[in-house]
Amino acid sequence: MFPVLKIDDLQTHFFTRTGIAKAIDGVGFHIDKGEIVCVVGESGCGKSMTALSVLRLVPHPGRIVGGEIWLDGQNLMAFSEREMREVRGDRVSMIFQEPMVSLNPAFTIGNQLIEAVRVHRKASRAEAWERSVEMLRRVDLPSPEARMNAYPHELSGGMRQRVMIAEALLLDPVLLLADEPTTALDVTVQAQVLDVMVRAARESGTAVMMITHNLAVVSEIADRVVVMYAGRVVEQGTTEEIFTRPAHPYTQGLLRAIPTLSTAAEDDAPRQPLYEMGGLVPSLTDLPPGCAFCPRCSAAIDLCAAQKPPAFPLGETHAAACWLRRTEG
Amino acid sequence: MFTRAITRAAHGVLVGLFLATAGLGSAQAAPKVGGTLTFGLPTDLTKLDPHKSSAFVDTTILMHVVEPLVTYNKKLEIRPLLADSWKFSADYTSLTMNLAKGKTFHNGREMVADDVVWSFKRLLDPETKNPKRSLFENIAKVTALDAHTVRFDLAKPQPGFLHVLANANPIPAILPKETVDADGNITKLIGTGPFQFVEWKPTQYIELKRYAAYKSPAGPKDGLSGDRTPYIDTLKMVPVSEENVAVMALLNKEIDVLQYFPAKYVEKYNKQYSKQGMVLSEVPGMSWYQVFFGLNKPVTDNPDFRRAVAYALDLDEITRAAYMGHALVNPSVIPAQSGYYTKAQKTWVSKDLKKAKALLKKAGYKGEEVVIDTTKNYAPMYKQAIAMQSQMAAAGINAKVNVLEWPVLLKRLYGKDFQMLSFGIGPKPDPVSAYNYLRLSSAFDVYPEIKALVDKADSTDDDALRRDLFDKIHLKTLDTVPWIEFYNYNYLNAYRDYVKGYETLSIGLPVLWGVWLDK
Amino acid sequence: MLAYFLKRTVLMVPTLLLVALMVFLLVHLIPGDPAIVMVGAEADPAAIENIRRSLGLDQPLPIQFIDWFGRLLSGDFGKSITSGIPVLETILERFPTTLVLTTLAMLFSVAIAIPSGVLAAKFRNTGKDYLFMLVSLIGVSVPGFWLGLMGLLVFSVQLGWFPSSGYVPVWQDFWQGLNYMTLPSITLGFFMAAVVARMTRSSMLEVMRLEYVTHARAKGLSEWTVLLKHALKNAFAPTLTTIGIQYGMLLGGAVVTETVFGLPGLGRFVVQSIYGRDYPAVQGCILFIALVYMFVNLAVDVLYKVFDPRVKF
Ligand SMILES: Nc1ncnc2c1ncn2[C@@H]1O[C@H](COP(=O)(O)OP(=O)(O)OP(=O)(O)O)[C@@H](O)[C@H]1O
Ligand SMILES: [Mg+2]
Repeated sequence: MFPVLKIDDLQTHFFTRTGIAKAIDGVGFHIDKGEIVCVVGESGCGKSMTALSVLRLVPHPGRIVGGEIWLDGQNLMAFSEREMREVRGDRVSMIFQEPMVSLNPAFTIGNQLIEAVRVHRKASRAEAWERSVEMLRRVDLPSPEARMNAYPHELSGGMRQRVMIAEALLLDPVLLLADEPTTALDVTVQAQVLDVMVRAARESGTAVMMITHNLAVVSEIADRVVVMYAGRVVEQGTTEEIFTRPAHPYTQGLLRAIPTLSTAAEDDAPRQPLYEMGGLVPSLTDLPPGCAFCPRCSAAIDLCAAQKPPAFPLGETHAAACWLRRTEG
Repeated sequence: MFTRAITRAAHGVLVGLFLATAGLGSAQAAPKVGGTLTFGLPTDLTKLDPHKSSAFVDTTILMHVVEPLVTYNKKLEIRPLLADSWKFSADYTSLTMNLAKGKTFHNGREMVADDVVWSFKRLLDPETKNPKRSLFENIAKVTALDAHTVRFDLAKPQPGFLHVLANANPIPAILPKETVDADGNITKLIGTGPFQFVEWKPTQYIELKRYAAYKSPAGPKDGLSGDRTPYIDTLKMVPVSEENVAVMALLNKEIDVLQYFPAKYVEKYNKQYSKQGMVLSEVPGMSWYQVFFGLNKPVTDNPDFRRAVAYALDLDEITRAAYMGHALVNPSVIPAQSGYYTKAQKTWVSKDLKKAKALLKKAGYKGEEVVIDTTKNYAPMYKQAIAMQSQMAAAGINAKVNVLEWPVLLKRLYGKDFQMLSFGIGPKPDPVSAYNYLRLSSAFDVYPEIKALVDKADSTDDDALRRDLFDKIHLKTLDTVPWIEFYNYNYLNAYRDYVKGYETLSIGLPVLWGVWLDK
Repeated sequence: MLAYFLKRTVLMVPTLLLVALMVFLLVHLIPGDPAIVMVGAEADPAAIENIRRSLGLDQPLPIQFIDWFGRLLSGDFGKSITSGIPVLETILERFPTTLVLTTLAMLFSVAIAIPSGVLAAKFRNTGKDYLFMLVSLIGVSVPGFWLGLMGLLVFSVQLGWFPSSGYVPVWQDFWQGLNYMTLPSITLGFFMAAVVARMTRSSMLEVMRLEYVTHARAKGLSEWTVLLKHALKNAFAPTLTTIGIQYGMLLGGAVVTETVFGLPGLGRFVVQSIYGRDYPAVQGCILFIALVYMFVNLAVDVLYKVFDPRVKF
């Protein structure tokens, strides 16, 4: 049995005028069928680019320069553009962060949903309409029939994100890439929308790669967690392993900064940085030769500045890329 | 430099004379009747009504349809047209004319004395609103003595009155009452001319057709007089305003004759077009260009300063700058074609910077700015101003060229509100009318002796006396310099080689009767 | 929608009143005198004074304005000083030519500009894009006069495809009229095409950075569907505004093309009238053009909603 998604040593670089930005510099993790994996990390660490790399939609001037991406045992890197188009929206779909700008303002909801069906399935407009309305109902959108004729700007943010979720799950994909799907929403609706998404994904047996800043959410929904820093995976493990036995100093820092769930809700917290750590993220165009976290790490040893740490296994599902966790063999 | 300019200018004239003669030669070889000729106009007809019109282009067209009582020959002498013969009263206050017999309007009716009376009544009626009505104001009364005799009574003695009757723009045309509709407008023009009006599609074309029953005056074709027999069946006159496009239209044979061929294309013509069945004729014209001095303004009110400018200017160079050699340098208001163009008229100072500087010193000129007003709406006015400026600078005069829009320049001229004004004007065959136009410079106010001489010339028809008076006036201007005359430019006409007998007159009018097609 | 239309139309009235006043002042305050232009440099001052009186130009300016404006309110634009023909008659006779010319030019330019703008955006920063940018730069900088002459030289004189002179209106003879109109509209449209194409390109690039375009790609749509459906419809809204402005400008500004090709359009009439200080004609034309311009604007605003449903009336 193959994992739904397996990413191996992925490298996505941006070729900018000021130099090559190594946005993703050797990321590797996998997601099993029906599993929900959360990807966390500071802003700019490469979470979104990882998701877009999976769809091979890295924006100009970025390019995937190395690594492998396996979907159900098929190497996506070997796919033609045409084959990739068949993957996108059908086997792998994506939900974007800003529902305000991710739906096309010039077309009705119905138009965009029907288009999503008909690009992959031989279906009449009526059938596609039926299916879309059904899906809208499943994500708890009130009066879905009427919404089909509405333009995105006539819907609230929460409603729009439900539409996005409905569209993403319309064709029962094996993998859903959800890039901070609730960050832009009002706190009051965040939980509902998240709930709808998780429920719908579970129903259709879709695996989810969920990108988020919100560790409270992670603890609630994730089966496993991937922690990223400066384009690399610094630690991954089950939710329990990460929350109870964080191995990497960066993960530890993240967890220390976590507020309680209740304060998070009151303070409208997701819009503010959840954690504060001393120092700055190094420039991606000029990464240090050693561990990227080293300059900010209080526990750093000499080796940290000299050489990049590989991922050291700490258990069957747990691994951390930190010289302090170095295990022999 | 100096001599070359003269040769170039002279060369243009020679070519023109040669071509004009060549044209005449072929006209005498058996003309063929028939065909259609398309004529390229610079602009559209403005008014179909000769009594209301005041635009020169209208004359170009309408003179083929309507006729005045008398007209000009090539030498600009008065010749009979609708009037056969005439006699002035001794004091030049009345003129009796015998009308040509058997002249018919295009509607078939014979032209008689009543038509003359009616036509002048209409032309003089203030309601007709001819902007140039004042030209005819001296006519006090027109009377039909019998069917073929009319008498003009004049308010003041006017020996030159025949020139008024031969006027080109507007044409004092004899029209039948029937040409006017109930509202007093003319939509179907009826005349006595060699061509009949067919239709005018504004902005598109004016179509005329041969008047088969046309009765021409006797004698060979001579300017607008003599044989006026039409040969071409259909005359289509089309406006082609853009000069470059007009040349293309002629190359494409969309038009057969182009009235104004741009001077900048002459070289191209010599190299190429002349081998492509195009013929260019260059005819010395009578339009003239000059600079006026403001005799009432600081600096330019000083005769010594004006004399200094005269010594500073090189007329050949100015002429070349303005017309690329297609013009004749002429320091006189009288055109070279005129019988009054004597040796005295050709006299002018030649460029002499030393004298210019000495005169400036005498005038007490201290480098004050002197403004030359001009316009770009007529390129030669601008070009000659620029040439003047640089020549004056060489003499130490601080001149500035001030480019104005045409209406503004006109307003300055009328308001006598300028120091120097670069200008030009259409043909004025009679020297008196030319001098009368120059009164705009206020020379008549400052130099009443000039006005007296002009008035005296106006009151006599003794050619020898007039010639003498004009010479005196010219020499007077040589001394007072109220203006400086530069040149008369040549008319460049181009046509396809199958067009025979075509010619342009020195007053700028193209003659299309006597023209035939050899196709 | 209809209410909006009516509201906008009513709002035009005060604007037009203001335009009328401004045009009147502007026209009368520029130096020059129609009477003098009419007689040229050959009449004596008394004759000029007569003409001024007969034209009512000797009256004080406010009286002249009230007189003109009063008649304007009853739909009388007055008579041309130069020709004596009612101004409105000439406008209505000449405007159709300008309308046909500018509309053809617009259609031509849009037909060229939108595809090339889209292609340039698709191939941004490649050789094709640079070529496009160069051609469009030439397009906006080449003088229309020169372009018209070159067009005539090549297509009329060399190839003989089109006549270089003359004119037949399309409503008199459609095909022949079109023959006379083709070269002028292409010449005129070329400049507009360059402007519109640049606008299309830049607003396409703007739109293509947006998330819904990535979203459209993530749905598995082909690149062409993404470009032509999702990006273009959004990018077209600002382009439409540009087209509207350009078109409005052409209505009064097709003078050069009209002159080169000898078309009896309104633009040339305006220029001739200004040149002759034909006050009623200039005032009437500018007022008329202002009115048409306002309607073009209104049409653009109404159309805008089709491309951007977020706009509220
Ligand atoms: N258009 C671009 N040009 C240059 N570099 C880019 C571009 N887009 C992304 N990057 C680089 O890729 C890195 C990762 O970007 P990414 O969007 O994946 O971050 P992220 O982890 O999703 O952050 P956030 O939490 O803010 O969404 C950025 O730090 C930036 O350096
Ligand atoms: Mg992101």
